[in-house]
Amino acid sequence: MIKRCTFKTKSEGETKELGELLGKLLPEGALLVLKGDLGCGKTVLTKGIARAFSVPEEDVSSPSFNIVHEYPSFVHIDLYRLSCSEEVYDLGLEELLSDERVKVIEWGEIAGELLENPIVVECKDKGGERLFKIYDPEGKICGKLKELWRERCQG
Amino acid sequence: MIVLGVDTSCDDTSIAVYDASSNKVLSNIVSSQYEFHREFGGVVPEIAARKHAENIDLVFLEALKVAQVSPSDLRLVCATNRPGLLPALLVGLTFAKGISYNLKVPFKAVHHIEAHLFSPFIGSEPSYPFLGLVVSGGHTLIVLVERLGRYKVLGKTLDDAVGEAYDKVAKITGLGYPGGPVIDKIYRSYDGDYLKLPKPKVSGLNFSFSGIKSAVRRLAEKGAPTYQLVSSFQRVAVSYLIDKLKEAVKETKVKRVAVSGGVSANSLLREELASLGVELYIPPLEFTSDNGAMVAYLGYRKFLLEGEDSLEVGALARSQIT
Repeated sequence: MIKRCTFKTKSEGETKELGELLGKLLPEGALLVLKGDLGCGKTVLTKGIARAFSVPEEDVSSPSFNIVHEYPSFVHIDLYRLSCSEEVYDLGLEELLSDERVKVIEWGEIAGELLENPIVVECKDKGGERLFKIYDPEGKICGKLKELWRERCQG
Repeated sequence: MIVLGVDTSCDDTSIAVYDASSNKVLSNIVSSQYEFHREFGGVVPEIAARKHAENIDLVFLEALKVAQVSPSDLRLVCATNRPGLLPALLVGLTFAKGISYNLKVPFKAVHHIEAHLFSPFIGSEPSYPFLGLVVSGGHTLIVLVERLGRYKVLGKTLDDAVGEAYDKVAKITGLGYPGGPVIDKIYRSYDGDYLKLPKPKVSGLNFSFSGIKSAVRRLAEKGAPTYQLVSSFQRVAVSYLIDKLKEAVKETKVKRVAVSGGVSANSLLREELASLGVELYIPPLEFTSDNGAMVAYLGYRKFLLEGEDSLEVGALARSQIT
């Protein structure tokens, strides 16, 4: 069982492809926390994940201001503007977090214990290249994702 | 006809009293700009729906007081029901419905972005067609307005809204929140050279601001001077908006432009817009950010066009204007 894996992308297009493959492997109700500096590629990766749920990528924009963007089969949350976990409760997010849709959460650290066993993706901008480190506590994603990513490169 | 307008779609609780007969806003109360609101350290926006619930009756009473009207003068109640933060929207929507039910006056639900689109015309009547540019913390889009209720979205942001880019650039450079006013002020005092920042290449009339934001972050990490960096950011962000607007004017041949949303308060944007050579409408500063006046103004016109809404209408987190 592999719990950790890292992927390197060289363009926005590649980041979206990685997101789409990842999206297809996410189980119902999955919580995915995206970490990393401003501009490291969190929203771009989410556009790719959205593709896996048939959401047009142009409909996926940053939810920083509105905090929650809901789609029929997945929810895009951004807790950037929140300052304490109490606000997460005030927003009624705990209800949202427990439905069957896949949740992608940017700046999820603030939610603390509300997010149980999330899959964590950390991105880094390495001057043109982007690194995406995935930590999957259940070990169900990395093995398969590595395989799909390799196949894609060969194909 | 006295109209109430309620907006709680995001951070601010806002209620306005609008006299439709004289086309005058009698009061426009915005919670964050009012003293009864507790101090919040200047940096953290009030987001919690609970805050709306605490504020709303005070804001309502203040709006009536300033307008010198009593509840029995109200003839129409309008509230934003989409799009926005659901728990926040519900506070204003439910409050407005309660007033409508209690006073037995009609209720009208309003689309937040549609209300922004028409906000430059508050106090007058819109002329059609016009191009609406909505620039705020949550939205950046260009819309062709053929008439009331008939819209074509020509372009929108594919990632960050322009106001959000301002806030994030301010955060990266340690200037605090919100970013728009402080960066605009620095730009006005700065007279040195500008750094080269990339203008995003996105096809058509869509926008992208995340590339500029990343470029700012990289330059900040390399130690670029803050004043130079944020002034360069403002220059490129505004010129990008203007480029897209020019393209929209060329494409549609519509030379009447209405600009709205919080970023329409920006002084450089206003300056550049004024020299575009179009028939320009831009709201006074108090109607640029979220406000109840625009909700009352649009709600009244939609009520005349379509009639009232049922009190069973719900709130929607996401909604395109159609």
